[in-house]
Amino acid sequence: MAYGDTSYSADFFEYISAFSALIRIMANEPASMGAAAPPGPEAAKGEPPKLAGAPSLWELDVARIVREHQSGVWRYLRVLGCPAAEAEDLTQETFLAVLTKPFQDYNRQATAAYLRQVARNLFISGRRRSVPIAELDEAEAAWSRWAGKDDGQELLAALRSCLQTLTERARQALDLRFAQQASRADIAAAIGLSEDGAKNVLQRAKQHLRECVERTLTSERRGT
Amino acid sequence: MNDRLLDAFLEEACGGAQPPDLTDKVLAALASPGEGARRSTAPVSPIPVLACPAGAGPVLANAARQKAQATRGTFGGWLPVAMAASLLLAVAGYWMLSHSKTKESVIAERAGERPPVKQPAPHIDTPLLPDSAQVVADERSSSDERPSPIAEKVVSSDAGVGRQGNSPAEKLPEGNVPDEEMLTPREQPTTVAENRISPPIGEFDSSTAGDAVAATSLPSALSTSATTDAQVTAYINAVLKSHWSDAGVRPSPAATESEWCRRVYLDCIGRIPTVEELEVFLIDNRRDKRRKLVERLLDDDLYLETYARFWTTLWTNILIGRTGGMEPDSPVYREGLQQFLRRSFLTNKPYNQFVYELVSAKGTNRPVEVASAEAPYNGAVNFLLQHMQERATPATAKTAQVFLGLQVQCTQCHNHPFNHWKQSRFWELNAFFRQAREEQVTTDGQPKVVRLLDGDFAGEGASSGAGDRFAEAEVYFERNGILQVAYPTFVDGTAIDPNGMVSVVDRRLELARLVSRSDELKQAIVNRMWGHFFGYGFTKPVDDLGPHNPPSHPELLARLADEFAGHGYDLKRLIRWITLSDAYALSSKFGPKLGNAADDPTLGNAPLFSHFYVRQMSAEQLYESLLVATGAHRTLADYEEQQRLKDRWLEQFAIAFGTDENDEATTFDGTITQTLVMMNGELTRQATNGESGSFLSQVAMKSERTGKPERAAALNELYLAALARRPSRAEVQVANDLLVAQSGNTTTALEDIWWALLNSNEFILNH
Repeated sequence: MAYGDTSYSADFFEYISAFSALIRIMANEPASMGAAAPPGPEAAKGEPPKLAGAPSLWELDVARIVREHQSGVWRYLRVLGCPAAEAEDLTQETFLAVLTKPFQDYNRQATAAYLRQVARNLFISGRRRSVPIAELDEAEAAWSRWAGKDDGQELLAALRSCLQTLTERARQALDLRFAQQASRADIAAAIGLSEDGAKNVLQRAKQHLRECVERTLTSERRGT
Repeated sequence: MNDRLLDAFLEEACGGAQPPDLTDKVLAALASPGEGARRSTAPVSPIPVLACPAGAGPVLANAARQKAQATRGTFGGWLPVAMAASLLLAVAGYWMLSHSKTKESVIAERAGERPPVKQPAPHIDTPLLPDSAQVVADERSSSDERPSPIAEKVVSSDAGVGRQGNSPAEKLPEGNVPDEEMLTPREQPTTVAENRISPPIGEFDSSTAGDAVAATSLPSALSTSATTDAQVTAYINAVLKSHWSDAGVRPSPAATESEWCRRVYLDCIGRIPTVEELEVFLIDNRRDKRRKLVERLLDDDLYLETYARFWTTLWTNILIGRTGGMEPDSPVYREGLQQFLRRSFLTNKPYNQFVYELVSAKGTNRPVEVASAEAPYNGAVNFLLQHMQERATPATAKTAQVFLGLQVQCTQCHNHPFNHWKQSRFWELNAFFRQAREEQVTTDGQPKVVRLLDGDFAGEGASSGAGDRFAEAEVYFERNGILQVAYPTFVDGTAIDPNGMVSVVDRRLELARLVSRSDELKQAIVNRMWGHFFGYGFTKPVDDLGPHNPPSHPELLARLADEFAGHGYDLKRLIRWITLSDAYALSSKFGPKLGNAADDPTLGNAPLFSHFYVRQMSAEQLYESLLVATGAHRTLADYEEQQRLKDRWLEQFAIAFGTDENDEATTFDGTITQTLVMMNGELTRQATNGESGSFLSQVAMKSERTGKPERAAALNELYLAALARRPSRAEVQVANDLLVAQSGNTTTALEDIWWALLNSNEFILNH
């Protein structure tokens, strides 16, 4: 993000939303405004969660919120380092944590940022805070840059498109590696190479994809 | 774009893991908040923990070996040293090859290509109702014995799983009760009358004070569960199998009989089997020989003393550490506590009674004349005497940690960082200990005689109060710079009368009652015992239960805890359930080829118990095993003398940090000290000494009497004594070379072989 950048206002808003959500979670105090609110006294008593000026849970379109954000939260957790099953569990935990408390769906960006923040906290807490923060920051920076705007939809489309530019053998290797979780030995056997050869194919394919996707996304954002 | 981002999206783009549709699940959970809350007990994430590598055994050092050679006389020389070293390397190599992962797997792991294992979903019972389950139900109804719900579920799930395909799990050893036996009508559910293994509360004739109170205040410790041992074991098997299936791992093949025998001796009575014991087990052809061996180790008079000594040592370390009572001015009389513990284990005292007596103990720490009728000798007081300093805060933390599996020590100063426990909770628990008084009895010099009694407690602000100053005896603590007040309230929120007069409320008795009846008590001990036998508990560490640290198998922990309580808090019964389970009988080999490379808790994954986790013997186990392997246990003196020698040997490994929480560490695990002690220590020197009358000399005599067959028998005996297996062909070859190098001097050759075996990884590991 840079001054003068057209994406400044959206990024800034996202950042402020996430940061304020974090502060409220840490302080465990009800929010008087903002995209989402942590638990208030009503929630503690088991009453329908409702905040002054905010719709109750049942007035929210919960199904829409879940449908709209679940892929983003799940992908975000995967990028943080969760295996798929754990990411699924944590995604569900995230929605439950957020939706069982007073909550205001202010706008899509703010809700997405808040959900990610809660997911991140649950992830760190689940690992007993032993996650290297530097790695998390790096993953988060990568997410913000390449997938933050639309929960990775654009990135996924670009990736699928770039996959078509690979050779058949490289695609097969990637498919074995990422879809079927095959070992390198199995990949090597399937594509008729040595294990080192298979490793090279995978690395080159990923490097090609990385460049292709970065090029595609950058040009799209520039409107070229 | 970093790799993690690319990999995650590539997996999705290639058709791997896809974002789930959780809409219905979330809506359903929101519609029933209770369900949502319970979901949180699911194993959300494997907790990455750093575990010590199990195979941290000693390494041969030529210099050290040369020293040993120098003491041996004229037969010393470089050749025997080389031979001994090569033998040791052969043993280590054989063991490593057979137990470690393959080269390919290591390479694959380094390349990060190990397929991620799906974490086991929260497992609910798998009621695969087979025909046999109905048979059991019919049999039970015909005998007017209604099985508990768990019994029915156990039967059905196990029978169903047992009929599945040709998985390695089906090749499990027979020691685990087969379905047929489990279902046979001969096996009747445990009844109250049968289960009176230990003296019922109130009849136990202990010299300890407080027993009379225990008899009137404790819940019944007699069995109330109709579930049989076989059914509980079958339930364990079924749940673990289900988790293996969920996680996509296969169990390792079964361990060999000698491996199983060695580990059950080590885990139940703290030492390896003798050659005779091992051979008796191996030649036994009965189908239920494993069950019989476990029962013999637990109940036979021959082993009762050893069993009690082993568990006494373990619990002494748990309660007061390896250094408690070792200082000359300590108020703790270590032997007194050990006497109490030994008596408890000899009589298989119900665990809740055992805890009750420790928490509520009153009396004098030593058996001396000054012990009066008001404060008779009671070895159990030595537990709390170790932790009574600093307003009894260590006693508070230790009681919660050891008996309830709750690590609340940090909440002494602040709220718990990872869960909802508040600072006030610690001080509310602490208030239970504030009537306790530690009184030093005036005697002439050492040893120190101390009484632990209870006196009226007027609260910390009593001096300024008016009226009945005992009515609300409070405890103060500081929170964010503000003084706050706490009254005795148990961890489950149960508050007692805050009156500080002992005649009105005896707070420690109340605490003992609450602890002994709590759910936390049974879960904590089951988790601890599981951890003892499997190397990993359902949580790590075993004494840190709570919402921040979900167990790996929550349903199994809960059921075992209920069954344990239902069977009268019988520790021996719990041991039988665990040791006769399929998982305990699995080999320690694992890796990609066996389909369970991912089940490696040393990498931070939650344990799946799909193979036996290799671990180093404790110092205590090693000491006892060295005695057994060398036959020295036959010539030792009485119990006190044995214990004294053992404590002296163990002392060298213990370090006390002197912190508020009486922390200490052992320098035993894989350290230079341990290696040097094993290579050059007095015990090893005695063990490898071929002097007349020694174990080695007897083996050598057999060998020298005749020719090669006898030599082979001697070599076999050494391997069986140390490793519970016979030597491989390569090892026999090295031994023969060694014998040739020693110019036919069998005794010296055997000394070298024996030394190498005792210093091998395979000897020092429980595998």
